[in-house]
Amino acid sequence: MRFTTLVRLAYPGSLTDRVRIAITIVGALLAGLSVLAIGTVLNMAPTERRITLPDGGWSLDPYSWRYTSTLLNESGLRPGLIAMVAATIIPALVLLAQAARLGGPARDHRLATLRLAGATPRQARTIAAASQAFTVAIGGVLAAATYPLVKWLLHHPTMDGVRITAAQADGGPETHPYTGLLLPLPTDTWPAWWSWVVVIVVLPLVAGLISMAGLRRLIKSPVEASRRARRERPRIWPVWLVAAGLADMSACRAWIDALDRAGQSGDRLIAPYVLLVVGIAVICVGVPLSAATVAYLGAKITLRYAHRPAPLIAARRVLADPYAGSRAVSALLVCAVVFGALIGIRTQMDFDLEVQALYGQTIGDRELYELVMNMLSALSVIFIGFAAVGLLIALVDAAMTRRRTEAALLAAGTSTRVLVNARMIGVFLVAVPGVLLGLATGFASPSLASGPQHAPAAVETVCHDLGNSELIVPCTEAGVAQQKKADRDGGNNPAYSWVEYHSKGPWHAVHAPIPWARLGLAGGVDLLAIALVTILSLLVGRRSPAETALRTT
Amino acid sequence: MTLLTGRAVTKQYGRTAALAEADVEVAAGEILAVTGPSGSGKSTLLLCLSGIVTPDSGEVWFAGARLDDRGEAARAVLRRTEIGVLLQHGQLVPELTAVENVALPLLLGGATRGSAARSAEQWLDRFGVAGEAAKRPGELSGGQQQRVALARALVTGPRLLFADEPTGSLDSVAGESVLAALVSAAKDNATAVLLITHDATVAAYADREVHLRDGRVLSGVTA
Repeated sequence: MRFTTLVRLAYPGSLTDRVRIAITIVGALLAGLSVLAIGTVLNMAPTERRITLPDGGWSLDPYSWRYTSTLLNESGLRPGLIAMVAATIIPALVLLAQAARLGGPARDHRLATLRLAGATPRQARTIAAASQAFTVAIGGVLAAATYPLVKWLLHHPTMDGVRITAAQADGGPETHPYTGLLLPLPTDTWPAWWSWVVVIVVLPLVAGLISMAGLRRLIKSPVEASRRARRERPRIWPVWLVAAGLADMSACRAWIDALDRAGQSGDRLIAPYVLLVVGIAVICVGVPLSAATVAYLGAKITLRYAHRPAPLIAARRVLADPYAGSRAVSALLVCAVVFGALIGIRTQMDFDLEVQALYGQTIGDRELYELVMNMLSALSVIFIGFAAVGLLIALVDAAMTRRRTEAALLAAGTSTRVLVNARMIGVFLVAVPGVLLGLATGFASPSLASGPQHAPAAVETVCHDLGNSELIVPCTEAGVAQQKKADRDGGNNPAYSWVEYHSKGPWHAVHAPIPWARLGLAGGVDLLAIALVTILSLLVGRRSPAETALRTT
Repeated sequence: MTLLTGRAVTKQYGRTAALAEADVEVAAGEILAVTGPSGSGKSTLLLCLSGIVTPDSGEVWFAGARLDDRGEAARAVLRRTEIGVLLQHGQLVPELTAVENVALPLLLGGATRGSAARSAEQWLDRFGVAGEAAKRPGELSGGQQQRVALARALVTGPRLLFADEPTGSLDSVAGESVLAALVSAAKDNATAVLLITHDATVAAYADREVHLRDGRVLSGVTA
């Protein structure tokens, strides 16, 4: 088969194909930009150097803290920064995966026809893979071409930002802060050479290989080449996987607490923490996989108790192919897990700071913590946006596939309202239990990982007079708050010389409260996105009257 | 000379026996009609003999060589060089034009687009649909689609053509015209035809007829 033939057959040019190609190019462009961003972060020149102090110790010299934020400057935060940038690739990959499904039945039919006309399995696979690989390559080249422009647009040097000296040690030298212009983003650095190769060569190759692997069974025979719906009852094991993950985390938490009480630390804590991470991974895999099972059970219950036609049609559809619906919402279920986990982390950290503040301790950089949490939240909102687009694609595709069936129902007298409601209920039968499960397990993971805080039964606050530090004066609530603010702001406008905190009574474990409002909001946002996307998909499908659909072959 | 032989060809789908030790022979240049009621195993026989589906047991020989034990790729190559397949609904690629559909086996075999298009146009002209060359299948009538499919099945000059209910989805006038074109082309090129049909008028075009019932070959009738 010649290359020109390959290109012609890879791009046959139907409307669905054009939409799929456009979405794939956008997905590849975003994935490419993410990879180049990772390459940039990994290529950043050092911002700190290790200096040995006269007393034998060492300190990090921030000789080149040339960025406005600590997150970019502090080398210890670099792995977290890389992980955060790497996470941006996930929505792009989700979009690519959903786009690949668009027009699936038409493509499968085309490949089967090609096989009947004499295409070997390898030729059919090559055609399908070439279609995906060429399209991703176009997106990759666009990403490579766009990156310098994006870099130039984001390059805004400023004099405002973080400037610090090295930590001083007794007798140690004091370093001077970086005095040049600061950058809000690492726009002074080009991506590492390999990241360009990944974007232009590796991404298209991987996309092609995945496409080939996905069609392995499909193109075995020209007449058996139909994607069979998995009609069997979904297995229960993914639910057990989630339960096992939670049980593992609970057991590890108890183990860590026991070691903590026994005064053990260091190497002995490695094993339970590793197992804890395994538990989190098991949950993350289990939740999307459980969606089909949960939807199946929900459909069974609906079928038993519902009497109106819309829920009955919806339940029957879910039972006919429980995996189809769960695949469509799987990205949004992952969003629910991520949302739940972020809320869990935020709740735990807020609670830790609150408990520590009781006895005057302040640990960590509150500003940096807020920045990271806000960035992660923004990332999850972006993720939910992409997942919603993916769901829209899946729903429109499903609607187009079901067009003739629905037209037949309309012709037989079923009202449009019933069919619209059936589509909505069908999506929600899968989404509602999935989102609840995702949020619950996502929230439980960091809560179990960090465990309870320990607080004294009471704290006595002792305030020293501002003028005479030897003199103890009565503490007032406003004065203590003012003092805390002054401590945070580098000693400006204090109320006292200093404030002492004495813990009283036995220390006991205290648990963070469950933030029902935040969890409700996150679940609401997730379900709202699903509802909006479902309504949008209904609008797309409504311009196909029964007569047209029935005549369409 | 025998071109195709099926010996004790058996195929089961689950517990249902679609074919039970069916024996069939097709001579070079012969038109053989396989008749029988719905569900008698006619289409399964075609799929097994053309190498699209592998039988559970039995043997299929084509031009003196065993066909059923060849790999999927080898059978596919045979399908685009020495065997043509024509199904009830034409099975055209909806996104390609008529001329591209006909040229498909040649293009898959490595021919240039120009030479493949020229051959395809000749075949379209022969079947009276040259004027529809640039149209897509959705813009053609059922009869025209079936003529395009027939042109595709014959464009490589196969020695054997399998036709499964080629007129099944057409009205009697269009069906007769497609059938006449098929028989005429087969005779002109000495192409053997295995014609699956449940219609006695279609079977009447054949040199010989075998009847299938419950997956078994019952009789052989020479026209």
